[in-house]
Amino acid sequence: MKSIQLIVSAIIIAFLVTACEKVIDVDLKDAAPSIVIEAVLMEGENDFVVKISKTAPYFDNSPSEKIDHANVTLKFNDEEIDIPNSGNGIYSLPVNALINTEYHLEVNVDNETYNASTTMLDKVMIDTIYSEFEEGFGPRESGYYVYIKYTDPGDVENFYRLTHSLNGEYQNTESDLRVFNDLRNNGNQPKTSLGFKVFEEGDVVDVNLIHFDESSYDYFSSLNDIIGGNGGPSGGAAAPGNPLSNWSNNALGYFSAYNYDTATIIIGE
Amino acid sequence: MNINSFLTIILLTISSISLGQTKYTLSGQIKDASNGEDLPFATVTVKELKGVGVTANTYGYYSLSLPEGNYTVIYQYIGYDVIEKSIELNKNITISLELPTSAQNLEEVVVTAEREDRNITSNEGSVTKIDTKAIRELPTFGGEVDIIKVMQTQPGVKASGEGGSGFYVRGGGLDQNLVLLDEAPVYNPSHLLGFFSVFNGDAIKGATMYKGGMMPEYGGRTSSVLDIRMKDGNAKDLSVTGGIGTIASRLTVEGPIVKDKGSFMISGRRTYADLFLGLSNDPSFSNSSLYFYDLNLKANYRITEKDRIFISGYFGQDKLGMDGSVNMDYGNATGTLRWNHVFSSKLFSNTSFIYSNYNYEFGFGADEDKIGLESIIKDINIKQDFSFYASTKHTIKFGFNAIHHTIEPGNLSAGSNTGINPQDSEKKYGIEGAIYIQDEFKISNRLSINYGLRYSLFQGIGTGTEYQFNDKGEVIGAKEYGDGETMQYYGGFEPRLSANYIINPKSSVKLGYNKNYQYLHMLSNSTSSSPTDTWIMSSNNVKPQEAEQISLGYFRNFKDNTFETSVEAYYKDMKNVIDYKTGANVFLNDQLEGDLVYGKGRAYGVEFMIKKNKGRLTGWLGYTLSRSEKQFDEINNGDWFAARQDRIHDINLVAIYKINPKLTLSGNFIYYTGDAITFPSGRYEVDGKVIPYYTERNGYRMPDYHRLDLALTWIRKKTDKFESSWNFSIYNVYGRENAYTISFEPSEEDPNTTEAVQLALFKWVPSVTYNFKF
Repeated sequence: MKSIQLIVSAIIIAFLVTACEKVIDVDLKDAAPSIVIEAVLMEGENDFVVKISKTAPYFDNSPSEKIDHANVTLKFNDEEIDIPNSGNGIYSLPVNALINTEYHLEVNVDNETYNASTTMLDKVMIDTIYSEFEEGFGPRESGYYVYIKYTDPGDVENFYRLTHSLNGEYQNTESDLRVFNDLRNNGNQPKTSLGFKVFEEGDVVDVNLIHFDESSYDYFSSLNDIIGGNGGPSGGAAAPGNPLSNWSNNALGYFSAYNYDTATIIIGE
Repeated sequence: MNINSFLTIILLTISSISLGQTKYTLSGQIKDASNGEDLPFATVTVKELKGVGVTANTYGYYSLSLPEGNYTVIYQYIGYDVIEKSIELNKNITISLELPTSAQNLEEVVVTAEREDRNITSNEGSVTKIDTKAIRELPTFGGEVDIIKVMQTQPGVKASGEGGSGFYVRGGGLDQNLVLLDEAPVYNPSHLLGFFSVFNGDAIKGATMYKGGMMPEYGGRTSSVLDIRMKDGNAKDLSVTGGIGTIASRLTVEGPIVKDKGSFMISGRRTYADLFLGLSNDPSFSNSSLYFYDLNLKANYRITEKDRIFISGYFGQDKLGMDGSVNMDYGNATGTLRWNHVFSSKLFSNTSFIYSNYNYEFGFGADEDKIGLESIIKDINIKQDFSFYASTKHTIKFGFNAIHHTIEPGNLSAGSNTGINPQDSEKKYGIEGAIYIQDEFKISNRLSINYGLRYSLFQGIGTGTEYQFNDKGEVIGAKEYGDGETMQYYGGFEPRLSANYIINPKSSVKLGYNKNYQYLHMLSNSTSSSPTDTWIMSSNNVKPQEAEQISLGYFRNFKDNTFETSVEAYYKDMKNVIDYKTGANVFLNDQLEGDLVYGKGRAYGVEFMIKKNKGRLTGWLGYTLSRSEKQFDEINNGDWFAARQDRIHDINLVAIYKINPKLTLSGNFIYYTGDAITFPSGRYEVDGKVIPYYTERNGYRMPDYHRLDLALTWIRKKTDKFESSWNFSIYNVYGRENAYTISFEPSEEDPNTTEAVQLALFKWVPSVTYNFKF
């Protein structure tokens, strides 16, 4: 839907209009700091990393306040593991994350408790990766577009995130955030692209197809709406608000378990 | 008000009408002598009987019952010569006549229609009428005369945003306005995302907007009715009018079918930016399309003295995109077939069959890679209206209408390479019906009231699925309905009242009350009209929207009706207002209703208006002080918050100056408080990105909006055979950079810092239009 808006707005702006953009001063209120917890569990033996911080005034460009005095506990299959603090708001420990397992994370800060849970799902494999040269139009540039195909499991609802690296460098701008579900293609072999991202001959692109649970999808999907544009008549989100978090007690952020498959392509070969 | 006592009053008044002395009826049709067009709302008064008179209906028909006697009847309409006729009324008589355009008005611009003191005498507060003829010389955007843009300069009416065709009336939402073109609802009255409306100035006769005190014949939306009528076509001679503008060209042909019995009008408009694109060597331009067109058709024919048939149609499309890559097409089609029948000189009837269709289509990719999405909203409507001219004191109007709605929210098509399952979202069906009765009652020479009652109903019908949701918006139950089964029934009485007390010939006080139900709702995530806005019907989850409004106004004219002034205050109470939950998924979502929240709204304000109707300098100054607020249990901790359209101050100044008979200068100044908007009150980092942190809905303001437009109209040639003129317009003369969007994002130079970026669309937009007529 966002792409429809984008295309139409771009057409209007390109052909009709003397649009002009400038940075302006806006006087924003400073909200009371709120806690932010971000935790990602990767399938297999990996460092499990939890980041805890607080919100800051919007135009405060110093690093946000980090929380190093929290108690962080990972619970699964009757096990409880304390995740130790390693400074700068980071808590980490090697964990061997197993598929089809539900993980609970409990965080205690200043006598407040925050809980979230997520399930590690099966891997969904990338069947093929390929690229095609395409002519551009409007905001869609000419260049090589990268596509993957994968086989969606037909028996359940599935939720995905796509990430990629370009020549070894992780790409993480707002437009690189790609999340989708199988509502329209359950059980098929869909193809999907990296959005409007174009590549040049010789580029090495590593694509990760992350398979995660619904609460993770809800978080990233609503996050995508929010960062896609806001504050104006054609803003992205239907109602600007905070992303749908799986944390209790109004904490911001998310706790997600990623299972993923990687495929690599060298453009033009 | 108790419904039973209300009905009793109506019945009593009707039964009292037949008593009294012998009366005869004078009736007929009033037309424009130059082209035979009907003159709706022309007034007919009787010199010998003070305070006795009638206003012609929308078809120019009038009927007046008087005691036997000799009278001088006065026919008038602003901008036309007054005609006085002496009659001997000893039987029912028919007088149809044509009013000649008055010569003395050539140097003036007529802002309103009808009689000069209408501001005082008419029993219509909160109503604005605009004649297309009167707005030809105002500044335009892109050279297109646009009746909606002029309507937006009236107090209480606010434009949806820079260049938008949508509007807010007295704090109501964009979807709460019923926009009718020859009685057919137009679901998306905008081209190119709203920069132009679908109403081609050459094909439109005029428009009436009801901001409050709506007559019972109208319903279905809670805020306002904008009733737009197409020209009937010149019944005297064949004539051709046209124009060549910066953006579009227009051509209209009209003429008699049989002189003075019937006429036709065909009017077309098309933009041509894409024709230049075709010349480009760059294939990404030459294969692209970017245009819109409008086609208006109308014909009417008087079959017998008592029967007249009208047929009118509108077709318009926007086509944007490039072959095989991406395309977006959308447009409206409407059709109206009307039959006027005069049962007796006292009973006038109109029967209308109305069709309306809006669809959009979005496509991406080509051949087997193509993903397409189509959405349709379709109405089939029958409407019956009777006017019974009971006596000089009572005019009774009654009727009914029934609409069959079909909404196809989204039909997804997909090529085999896409891996997507083509799927249609569930189609929705509903029937909306209403019956109404109203009485225009002249209680005395000073006091008149127009009171009535409308009963409206809505029935959701199968095939369909009804979902039950829990507090989180998750489906906890579903019920299937078969073909034609009733899924949901809503209905309610809508009392309406408007009253006018004439204090003296120069001043009056008007009171209005109306209650309205709305059964169709638009969900939009933007203030600009987007072709992809979703319409939904009332259901088990979505209750009908409800609004009650009360308004009170003081009207005074000065210097022989040269100046009209008014002050009107209103209070509007709204129920079952709809908003989204955070993270709502609007796109192809059969369970969208679970993502919605329902709350209350209130809007109140005062509207001031000064208007100068005569002389070389004419125009108006309007100021509105108003608030519009909403409350939802789920948003902002249940506190009231400002609606987006809560523009506290709103000023409009429109001035037209006749330098000489050939040159007219006009200007248009607009100022309003910035829209209420949600901005972040903090930031944090997640997923390696800086994320805005929101704490309250609509807690901030966009910068104030203001702009000046100027236009010069130069009549090059004006003879009986040929007329031509040039119009030069500049939109936003002083280049104000009005914020269209403000986005909060990481700085491009240093992604660790954040900044607010304002996008302004138009700095200056000059346009030139050449118009001709022969």
